[in-house]
Amino acid sequence: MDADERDPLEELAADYAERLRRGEHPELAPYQRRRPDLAAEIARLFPTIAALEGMREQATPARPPAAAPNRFGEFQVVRELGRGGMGVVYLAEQASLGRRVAVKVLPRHITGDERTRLRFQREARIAAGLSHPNIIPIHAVGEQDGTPWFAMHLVDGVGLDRVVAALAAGAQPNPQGGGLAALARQVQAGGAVGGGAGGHTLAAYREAAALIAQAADALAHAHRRGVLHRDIKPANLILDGDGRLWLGDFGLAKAFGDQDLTHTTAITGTLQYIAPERFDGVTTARSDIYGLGLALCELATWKPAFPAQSRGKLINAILSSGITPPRRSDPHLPASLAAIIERACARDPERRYGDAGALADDLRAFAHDRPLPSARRWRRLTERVDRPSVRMAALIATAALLAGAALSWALLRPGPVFPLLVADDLGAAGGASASAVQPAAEPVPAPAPTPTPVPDTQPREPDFQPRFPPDRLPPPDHLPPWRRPPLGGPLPPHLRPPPGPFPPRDRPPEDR
Amino acid sequence: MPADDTAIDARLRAGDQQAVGELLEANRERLLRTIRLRLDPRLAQRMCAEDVLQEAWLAATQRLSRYAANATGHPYTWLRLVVVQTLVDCHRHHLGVQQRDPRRELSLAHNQGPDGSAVSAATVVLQLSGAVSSPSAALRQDELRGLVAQALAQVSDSDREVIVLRHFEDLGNDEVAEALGIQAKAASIRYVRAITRLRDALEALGLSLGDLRGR
Repeated sequence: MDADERDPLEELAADYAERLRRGEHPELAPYQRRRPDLAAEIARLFPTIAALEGMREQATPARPPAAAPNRFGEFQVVRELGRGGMGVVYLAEQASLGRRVAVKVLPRHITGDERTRLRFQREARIAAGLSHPNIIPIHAVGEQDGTPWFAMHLVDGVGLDRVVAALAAGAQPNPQGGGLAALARQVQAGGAVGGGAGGHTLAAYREAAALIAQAADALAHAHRRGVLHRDIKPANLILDGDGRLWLGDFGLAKAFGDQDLTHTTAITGTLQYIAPERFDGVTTARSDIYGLGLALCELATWKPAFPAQSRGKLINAILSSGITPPRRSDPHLPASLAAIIERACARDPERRYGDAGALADDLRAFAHDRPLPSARRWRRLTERVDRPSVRMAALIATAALLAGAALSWALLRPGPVFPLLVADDLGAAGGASASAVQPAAEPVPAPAPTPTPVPDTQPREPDFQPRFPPDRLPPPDHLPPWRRPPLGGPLPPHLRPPPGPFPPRDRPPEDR
Repeated sequence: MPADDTAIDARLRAGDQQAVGELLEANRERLLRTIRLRLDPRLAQRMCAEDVLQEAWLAATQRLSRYAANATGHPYTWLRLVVVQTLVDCHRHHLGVQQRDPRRELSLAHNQGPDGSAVSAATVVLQLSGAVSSPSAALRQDELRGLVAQALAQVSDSDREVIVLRHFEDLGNDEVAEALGIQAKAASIRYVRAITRLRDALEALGLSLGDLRGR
């Protein structure tokens, strides 16, 4: 890279172009004075350079529109419903059954080769096998001029992305007036939805949780059958006017393979919903849960889970920092709902919900104001268990607790002291330990000092012996003091009602 | 800039993925221009330059482990090559087009001839003579633009490539040399020759030097 080796004219040209880029209007004469031997070349070539530099403004060519087909198989197209990254959706009519369906036509660029199309057919068949009240049923699948399409149940609703957008724009979800479902109807009708002065109410949070719980149910159903969605995002969660949430496009992403994670405009448009592990080519049920967590976050906070930013920064954020803490986006967000969101959206898949059913349980618990099945305290503890020292300490503590509990149970129990526990607790010699690991069904000789010796020939009976033999049963009226009814006998002086003209009401007359 | 390069270079050698993202962000516009000038019009209907750039980002992070082996101390040139290679892959994947240079690996030493995805004459005309968004752009400027685009379409692929690298991708002579896998001296000679031929093509289209001077 020795500068001396460069063509001197090129060096001058580079300087000239550089000054043009800075917005200067350099004259040719100074260059010609510097290199009189190149004056003629400068005069000939530099104007061309100036012309080139004058063209740096870019223009992107317009895309020619594609002609719309008018039928797919037996489905007659009525009109176009919408267009997204994953293709165009048409409203169509199935004459044979007299019903209206939605036909989704996939963009040809993501279904280019034969292998992809076959995979699409296979995935569509698997997805068609799913049957759940929150999964959009698939009626038919086909191919037209090499472009795959499928017909599905026509859901009369809007994507949660639009609902969130309406909320963010000031629309008010009114739980008394139909809540988010009513809002969905409004959005769908294209009416004005702004102007609400209300904000985040507890009822609104609960409604959001209950809605996402429906989607979690659908996911749990699909996951149990080994079907991953792979493209969970608000736009794929359709809310109808009756408040039912529908999950569609199952398996589509799979059909187009992982390489298309970045090939299609479809998925790049919704990059922020891609779970971090998917960049390593790993997609599991927990990746779906992550996507659903993001949808929940946006529906609850009315804000994007990741701030708007360029793709490079977004990918960095997904991989290294995770979602914006939901309570920073929305300080009113209840802590328990924030905990659900953060757990569902954890960057480490291992820290997410293990299955969608558990997420649904937590969401329902929140929606109905019950404590979450997965308590936060337990979660914190398990998170700390990652450190080896803590893990060991927890292990020892748990073992000691169990041993103590077992020992006290054995000692307080009126029956025989079970030798298994004795052997374990005292760390007896090898022989005893060996017998200790035998299943309990095998009778073990009981130690001598027992009030009711267990006969060897009666393996099951001792286990079901009444805890209190009849001769040791407490008398029927033996109850702890706090449960004793205030019958029989006068009340203690301090509880007696003050004397007055009226008889005390709280005591039956016959007791007086 | 060189100090920046050194820092980024060191981080890339250490396998710092964040550095890839920063490098890409810092050169976003240049890279998008690189892509737009090379995006086949048929492919442009299916994916935009941003898509290619995003895919290139992933490719770059995947190839980061091999960065140190091929490093020349110019991180941008490396990233640009990944972008161009990604573009070649996209063309192949979507259009089934075999590009001129079917090399798979990023090896600067063996990179002879025109760059991985050459700027085609058609793309140049489409990209450079398209409607100008700026309302201040005079009609005369548009005419000039069209003529230069036409002239660029007429010169050889090799000439067009070096001009595009210098004037539309903002590469310096050394970077052009690296991108083309040739010596700095050869790159500078090729550039002067290309400009000379472009000027001849412009004159053949009826444009006099005076017109160009006015700009």
